[in-house]
Amino acid sequence: MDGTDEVVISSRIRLARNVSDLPFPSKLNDERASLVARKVYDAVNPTDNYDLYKMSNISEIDGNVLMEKHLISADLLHNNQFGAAIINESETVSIMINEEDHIREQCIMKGFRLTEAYDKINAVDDIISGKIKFAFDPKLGYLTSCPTNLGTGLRASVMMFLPGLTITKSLDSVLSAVSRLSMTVRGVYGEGSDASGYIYQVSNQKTLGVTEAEIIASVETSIKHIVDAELKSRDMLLKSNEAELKDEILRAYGILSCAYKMSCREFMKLAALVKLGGYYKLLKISDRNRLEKLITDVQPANLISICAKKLDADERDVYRAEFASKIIKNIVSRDGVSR
Amino acid sequence: MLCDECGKNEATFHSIKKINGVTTERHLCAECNKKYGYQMMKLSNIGDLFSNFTSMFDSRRDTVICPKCGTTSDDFLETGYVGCPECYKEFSSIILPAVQKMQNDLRHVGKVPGGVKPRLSEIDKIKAELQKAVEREDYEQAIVLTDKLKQLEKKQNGGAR
Repeated sequence: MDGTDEVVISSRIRLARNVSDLPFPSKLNDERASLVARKVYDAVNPTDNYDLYKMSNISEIDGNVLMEKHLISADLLHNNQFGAAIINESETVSIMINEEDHIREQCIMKGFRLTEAYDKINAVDDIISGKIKFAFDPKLGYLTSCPTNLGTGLRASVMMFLPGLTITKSLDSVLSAVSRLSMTVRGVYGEGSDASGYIYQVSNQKTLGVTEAEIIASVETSIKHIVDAELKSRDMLLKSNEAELKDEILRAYGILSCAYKMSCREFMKLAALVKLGGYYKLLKISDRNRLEKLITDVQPANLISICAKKLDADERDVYRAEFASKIIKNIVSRDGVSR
Repeated sequence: MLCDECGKNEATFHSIKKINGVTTERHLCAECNKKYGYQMMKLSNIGDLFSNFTSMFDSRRDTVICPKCGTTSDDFLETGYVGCPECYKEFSSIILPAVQKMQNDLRHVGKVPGGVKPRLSEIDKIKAELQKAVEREDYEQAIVLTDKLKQLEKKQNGGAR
């Protein structure tokens, strides 16, 4: 293993598509908008087990659950009465309807698997385009509501865990090195603070004048570069302050295993340290996917959905600590102690 | 090579610049060079891009209204969004230069609906070479490659489409 798995959390491909001869969603406020959801659902449903969620009648909790899982955007949830999401059972494919564009097809996969994610969503795209005529111009490609998505309509993004670069404050210099490939980077859970869990999303900016394969290749190149830099800075971090860092990691593990009450913010910070402990072989993490899933599970709406009853903020923090502790004790242990 | 701006006259002013790692090429005729000169846009800030663009057009801009959806060219300049596929034709004189600045390109080379394979392997290859030439700041080679690229594109656009 070259360390990529220690840094890359998940890969996502999104294709922006619109129905030809219809105004874009911001200008479409009648029944034709809800027909889009129905048509897409009918096209894809025979190929996999899909659920259709209409934003007009989804409960607040269920909507937030999907958002915390990154299956839908805040924009879709709040901004369009004709918004809908079509999501397959394994939650690898999510098609947002009437967000910024009529159809936003997304495939999300764990780990560094952009090509695989593209192949999957490309097949879904073929199925939908068999039933719906897309707005397409031979010169400008797929026509989108914002010209930043013209051409391929493709956004390839990779979610990354970058504690080394963040703590050593070298993120900016690494990002400027990949900026000539015109990548953008944003914090997934807010910017910069330790409550962000050091989780970032890196994606391509250019969508026109490049093929799908070229976009994916350039994102992959950038990601590899960032992974290398992240691993180097993790080593530097350990060398510069070994005892402090190890102490902080093991304390985080202790609190996560035993606390009675915990905010989401505190959880994010501690979980990031535990993951880092896994990298330094200070902690043994038997199931990394479960740990990643835990980060989603303890977000407010997901936690309530798992608990299956209403919780006020205090009760939620108590339940979060209890739930997290159970999972952490199950999958994380002290490794052969290296002092 | 024809002028990037008017597309009519031969381009005589060539510039390839690399600022903050972003490379941009401009090929202008004498007349357009006087009018527009060299403008560097930051790719990272779309809001700025459009407001820069608005000021650039202020003196000679008439509002265009898309007959299909009612979006105006002012709406587009303000928000960066268009209202329907038709807007791209209606406001092409405003949108296309903005797209060129944003994407550094004006020609789709990717997937086509209906599963037709993308066409341009040779052009892709030259583009990659060009990128490399610009990165090592070999501008002579970059200009040769740019010419080659334009020729190929011309051939393609004149060909069966």
